[in-house]
Amino acid sequence: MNFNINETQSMLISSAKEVLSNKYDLKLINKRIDTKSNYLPGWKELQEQGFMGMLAKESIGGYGLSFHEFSLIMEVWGTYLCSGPIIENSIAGVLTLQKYNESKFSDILKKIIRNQYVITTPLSNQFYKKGNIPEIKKIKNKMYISGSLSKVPFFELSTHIIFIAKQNNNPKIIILPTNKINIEKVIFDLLGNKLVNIYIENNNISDDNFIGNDNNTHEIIDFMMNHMIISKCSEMIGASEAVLNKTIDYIKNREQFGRSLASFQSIQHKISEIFTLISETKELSRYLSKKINSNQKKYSSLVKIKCNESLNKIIWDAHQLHGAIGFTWDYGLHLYTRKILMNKSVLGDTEFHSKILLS
Amino acid sequence: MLDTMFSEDDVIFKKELNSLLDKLLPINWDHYPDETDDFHWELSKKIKLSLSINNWIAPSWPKEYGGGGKEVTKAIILSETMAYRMSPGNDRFATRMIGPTILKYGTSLQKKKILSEITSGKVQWCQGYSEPNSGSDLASITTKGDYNEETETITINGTKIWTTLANRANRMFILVRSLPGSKRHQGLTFVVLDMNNKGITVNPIKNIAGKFSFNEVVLKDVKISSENIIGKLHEGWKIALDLLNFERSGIDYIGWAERCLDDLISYSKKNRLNKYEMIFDSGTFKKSVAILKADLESAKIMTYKAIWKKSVSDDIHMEPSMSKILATEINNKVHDYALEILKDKIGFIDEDPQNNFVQRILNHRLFFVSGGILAGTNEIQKNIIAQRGLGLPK
Repeated sequence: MNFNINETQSMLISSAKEVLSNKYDLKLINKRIDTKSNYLPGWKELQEQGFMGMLAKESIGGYGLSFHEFSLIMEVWGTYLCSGPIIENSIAGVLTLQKYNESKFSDILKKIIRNQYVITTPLSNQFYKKGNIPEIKKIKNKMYISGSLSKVPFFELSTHIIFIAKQNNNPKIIILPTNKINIEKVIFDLLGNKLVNIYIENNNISDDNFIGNDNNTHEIIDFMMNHMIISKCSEMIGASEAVLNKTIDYIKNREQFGRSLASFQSIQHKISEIFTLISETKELSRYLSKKINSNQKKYSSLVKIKCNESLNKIIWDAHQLHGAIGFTWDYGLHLYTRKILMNKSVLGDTEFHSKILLS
Repeated sequence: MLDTMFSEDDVIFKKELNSLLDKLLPINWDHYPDETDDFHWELSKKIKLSLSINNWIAPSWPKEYGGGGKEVTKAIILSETMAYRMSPGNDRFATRMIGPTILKYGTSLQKKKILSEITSGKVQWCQGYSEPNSGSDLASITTKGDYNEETETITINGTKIWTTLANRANRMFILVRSLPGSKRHQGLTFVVLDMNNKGITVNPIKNIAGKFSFNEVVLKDVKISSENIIGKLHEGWKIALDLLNFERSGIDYIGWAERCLDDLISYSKKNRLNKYEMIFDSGTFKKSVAILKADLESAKIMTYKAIWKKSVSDDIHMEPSMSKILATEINNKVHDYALEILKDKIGFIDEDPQNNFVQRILNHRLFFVSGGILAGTNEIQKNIIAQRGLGLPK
């Protein structure tokens, strides 16, 4: 039993903070929501620092970090409200391809690490909202794939997309270049990030496009989902820590009735509750990030339920503690609120995960 | 789910402990350990002796004092498992409060005497902190402990209250005001005493669950020798506070909450919500239980962390406070939800309450009102987190 973060992990967190902390600007994120700009704080910076190879083995040019260490970086990513397909690229891309088909996809893996390829995936939407599964058909010894995929994040940034398809009603995992896929509709999430609905029309595919084999498709899907869920939770935890710090700063500096807001017991109790909720959620998520694999769906469900319910509570309490200033657009507290609210339903809501946890 | 935190050796220990409890506890034992009840008390003594034979009373203490010499994880497993099994015989005042305090502050003689006595399984301790009208303000202590330099004795006069198991205990640790005229946390001394000393009267107080678990203890001219002072004369405050950090992990509440939740799930699988579905099949039930489970597991990991951190470092401020709040609150939440599910079955006094799940949950919930109050109320813990932990002004 050891709850400490080791020296390497501390350095990793510091270095991610150094890279990301100066690059985000709440005003520009506000502007992104207003103007639908392509502002993606943190994305290029992490790419330039070689972070796309975080989870890749050192033998193929990566950092060889564990998933636990990746989740620590995702906390920092969430703290600074960064945007970009980091989870899609690192989990659906590097981690999965490396684990299940390293030799087959070695070229793609190397190109992801060198920032030549970027991976996206609509897996969340496919998995939790049934339907939206393109179909593979064989015509004269050739395979073709057709169908719609909705709410694909960061599509225009990506060179490849990984998704679930079906062939004779059996699920398959497919990786496809994005250049021959048509965008049908553009939508925006609560933070102004662009998502698209796409249509794949009779794209010719071969064995090279299949990830895994007939025997391990379900395992790979679970593997990806479990890791993506914990990553998303880490991001939510990071955002909630930013909310905590912002709130502490505010109550320390704001004076009412001739004294600091932070000196009132009712305020102290509320902030203690927020701090405690975040601490327990973080501890649970960090611990289970060390244990997660393909066959621990209950672990990821547990963490997601905890994040959905607890972090949702802290944002509303933080708004109450901020008073009117937190109600303004420019102050930016709403950006964290939006992030946490949005992520509550991404990759499964509490109801969905309750069924898994009690199965 | 957090079982993976434990080593193979820990898992074996847990199995062996459960086997021992299987032998010692009556079949289908599901009573909250109430050592004021004669049957429970006899059972408690028997279990303590059996634990002692295996060096399990304090599995992580040094072997020279009768401990198991093992990692702190064994102590976590012991407390959590015994709470889950609702077993009497886990004297938390001894093993989780005064014991670790003696290990840290005691003289070699005190260590040998007090710790070895605890691990023999033959003593029961109680805590003499609270006083009438002092409430959460521990530093307002008025019980006098007059020190006589010539005879090297302390004479104690005063009243302690809410003293759990004082009516069973043969040892007490107590905080007294030894420096006349001193204020607040100055001039306090931490001492241990034998409850068989002359001048001690124990008056049981009935609690809302109808039990006599706590007491008023009147001390009149109780004389003890200076060998019973822990640490230095007039410098007991730091020790008293440190002891509270040992006390506040909340690990028992985790065991009780988990047992209640597991039993509720079993109940929900055997009882109908309506004529169409079992309680367990209801989506609302599943969602509520899943949220409780997530809260329980995160509270559990915080209690583990508090105990672990205390075992490796003195630099600990917020963890015991956070884990105490989380553990007591989740235990209440789980029992509250159980009461909600049991609905109309609540409200009647059963003829045989000990054998009734409904009565058990109700009695436990009443008893667990104490969780948020004892060992420093949860509000006091929030003050500690805000002021000592987050640096907000006093």
